[in-house]
Amino acid sequence: MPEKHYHVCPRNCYDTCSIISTTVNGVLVSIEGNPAHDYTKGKLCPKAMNDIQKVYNPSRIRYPMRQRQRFSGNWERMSWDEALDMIAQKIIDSKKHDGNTLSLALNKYSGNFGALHNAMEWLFSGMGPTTRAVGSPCWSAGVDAQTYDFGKFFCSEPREMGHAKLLWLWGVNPAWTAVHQMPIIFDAMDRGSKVICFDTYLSDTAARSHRFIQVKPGTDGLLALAMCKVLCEENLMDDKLYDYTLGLVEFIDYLTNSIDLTEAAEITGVKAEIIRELAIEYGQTCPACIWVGFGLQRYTNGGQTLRAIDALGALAGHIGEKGGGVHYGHFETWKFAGAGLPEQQNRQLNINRFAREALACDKPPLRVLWLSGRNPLAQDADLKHWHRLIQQLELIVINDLFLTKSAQAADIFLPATTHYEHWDLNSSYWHYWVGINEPAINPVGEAKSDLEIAWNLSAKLNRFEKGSCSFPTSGSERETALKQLGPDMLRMLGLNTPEEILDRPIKAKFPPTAWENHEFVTPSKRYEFQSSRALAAGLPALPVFEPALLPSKETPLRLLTPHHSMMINSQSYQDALSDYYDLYINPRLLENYGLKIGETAEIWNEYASLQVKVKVDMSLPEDVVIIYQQAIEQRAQARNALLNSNLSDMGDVAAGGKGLAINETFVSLRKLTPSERSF
Amino acid sequence: MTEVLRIDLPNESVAHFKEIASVLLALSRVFSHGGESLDKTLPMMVKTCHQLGEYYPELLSMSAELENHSLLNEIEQQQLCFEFNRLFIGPTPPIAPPYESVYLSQDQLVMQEQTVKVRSLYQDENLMVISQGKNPDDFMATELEFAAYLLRNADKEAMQNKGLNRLKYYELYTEFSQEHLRKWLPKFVERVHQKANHPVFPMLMDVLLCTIELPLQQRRNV
Repeated sequence: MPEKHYHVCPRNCYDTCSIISTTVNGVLVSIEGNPAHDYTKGKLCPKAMNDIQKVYNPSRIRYPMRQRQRFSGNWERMSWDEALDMIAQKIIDSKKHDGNTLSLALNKYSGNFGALHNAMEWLFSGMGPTTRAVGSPCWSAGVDAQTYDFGKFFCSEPREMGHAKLLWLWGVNPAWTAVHQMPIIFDAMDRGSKVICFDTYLSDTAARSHRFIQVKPGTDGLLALAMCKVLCEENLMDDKLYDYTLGLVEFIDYLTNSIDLTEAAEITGVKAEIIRELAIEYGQTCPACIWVGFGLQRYTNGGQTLRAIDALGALAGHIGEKGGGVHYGHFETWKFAGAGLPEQQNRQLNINRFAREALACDKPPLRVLWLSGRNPLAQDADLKHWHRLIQQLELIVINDLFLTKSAQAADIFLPATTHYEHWDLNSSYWHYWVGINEPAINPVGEAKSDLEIAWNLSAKLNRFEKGSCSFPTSGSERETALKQLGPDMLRMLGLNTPEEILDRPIKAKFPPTAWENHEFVTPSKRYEFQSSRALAAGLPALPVFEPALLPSKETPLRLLTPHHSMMINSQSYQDALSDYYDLYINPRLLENYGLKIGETAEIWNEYASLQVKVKVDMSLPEDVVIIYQQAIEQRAQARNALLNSNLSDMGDVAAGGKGLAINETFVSLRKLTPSERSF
Repeated sequence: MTEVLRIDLPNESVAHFKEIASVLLALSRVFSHGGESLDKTLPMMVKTCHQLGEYYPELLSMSAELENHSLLNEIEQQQLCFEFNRLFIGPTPPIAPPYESVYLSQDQLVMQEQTVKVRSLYQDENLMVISQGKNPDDFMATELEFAAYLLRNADKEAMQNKGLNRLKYYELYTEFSQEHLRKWLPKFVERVHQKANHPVFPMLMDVLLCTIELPLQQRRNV
């Protein structure tokens, strides 16, 4: 008989879909969206629709394996017992050698965002103070910016966007990366709302908007500040601002003295009259909503950009307005109970500079690295540092589903379960739903959940040396998932007992409009144009424009690498894998470099060079080129070889570390002779 | 079925079901025990091939060649293991995943319609894969073990000379072979022949294809 099971898509994605799977005789036969979920509404994106192909892919790794020499491809199967013995012994030996556990490092991020995937952190916390990758490669600057402005990182329920009469999509491409938001936007358009897309290039979302405003990369903050100045000049500021904001006078002074519309127009590429027209429309339309994307803050001035856009929303009185506000994301439904382990004095390394900072560690140096939900060799900057670190490490362990580029460096590969094979609890950083994830099928092959791996390794460690790990050695996955719903989460979800979430996903009982009563949680309890916390963090107290990095003569082209509709970072859902990247360039650039469409060319900078196939995007500025993320890592050098670890300006306060200014990557382009071409 | 009833099978001394089953079982062990146990499973494979080779000279030459490659030093054994894993296990996407549905299902996945069909055949015989749900029922080792099971039972029936009833397991083998083994193993074998870097594996594939055909050959001979 067919059986139904609830799941939540655990990918690092806005939508966090509610999924219902069907199994027959223990075999996963279909998945569909959960119609009872008011955001994803029974529809799934192509990435989730690919799940059966992922679960039952013959390339999925079914057994623990050991590689005799890193990158050799010479792998042997080993039992779980052997694998965990080997890892536990190395941990105990390292601890004995160093007299502490700091040589043990965990680098984990968003391969699976389920709460029980924190088991790896819990395991490491159970061992003592260890070395950790902290921060985020994704959204740090924006998270901190909103924390300075509002007091915490929170946004309205995303369906509220449908009430906006004017909707600005700023550096976000939901047509590719948040498909469930598009019907909300289209419905608003059908009801007469105006949608304007601000971006560097004509994305699929921009193409579906009423108007496209092309902004030069890294100048969006200045554009927002220029519009703030127009609001002041045109007397379009909310007249109650003095009641609920801090630093308004100082901010207006800054705008008056430091922001010049003509100069802003030149820098941003948006004409002064258009800046004025846009600002006036924004100031005069209620409700007006801005959705700020993550790419916008992946610059060295990214945090300031977010603060400037927040300030624009505040100045016009759109913060706390139903259908208004500045949407970016939230953490509010992520207050999981954890494992109750004591906080450790970990050695913290910025995740975006992990290898660079790890190499600088001594007393003790890093000996053991565990990679979980991460693929740094296909994603991270500082690749040369990574390769040096790999040479230094005495043991590299990775738990994953497939052999990633990073897994090729591993000594031990541990096969992980998918979200169809384990219990979990998942929240979204966009909508307000929280859901339990049930196992639908047995783990494929000998795969184990992160939690089970953590229990089993803790058991091993304690067998080898009693008391060497305080993380539990066994338990119930289901109970551990339910325990993540502590009193705060239960209250938030309106539940009496955790078990109630087993019946269906639950939406947090937040007011749908963020900051609706202008009750902010900043130190002043006001919206802070002027932030003492920012000042204490060594930043300007006010949102200001600080120029992003500029291209050099040697590398005159800014390389942007936006998400592809069928990729989430290095997780690919493309039917056919490519051997090379397509490089999108302006037609004039094609002419300048004497290139033809489809020709193989080379992009390079001081870190690496890549051969690419040239394609044309009429909308691109002449100094910007684009590579969409593609899964070429198993066949060719991934584009991260070109990345340097420039950091964003913010991220230390709420996000754990500064973000990666990935959009500050510059390259040169070169035509290749036929004999130089690899394809 | 009526056609089968008209066939007079060769008697047990000619059929050699038991010896064929032993080779299939040894092949099954090669895959179930994995590359790390080839030092044990390959000699067993050679031994059973020798025994069957008494009746089928073509197998004798194959087993002699296999024997040359089954007496390996430690380093050679390790290389053989790496190659086995590269071909059949991973973690690099395996060249020839040893699961029927990968070759016959529309999406080339494991745990598909073919998997469920063989499970149903096992259930008809009150058999169940120990790790059902974790490992696909159409794993090559399991299918070969099932084939060996059918032939051993056919052999027992032949020994008991139970008339019509003695044809049941032979008929089941024929069906199983035609509906499953013969449909996917040639595709599997082809991949190994094309991509193997060590001669043992193409030889094993030759033994495999030859052995599953032997019982059917007997029918054709009759």
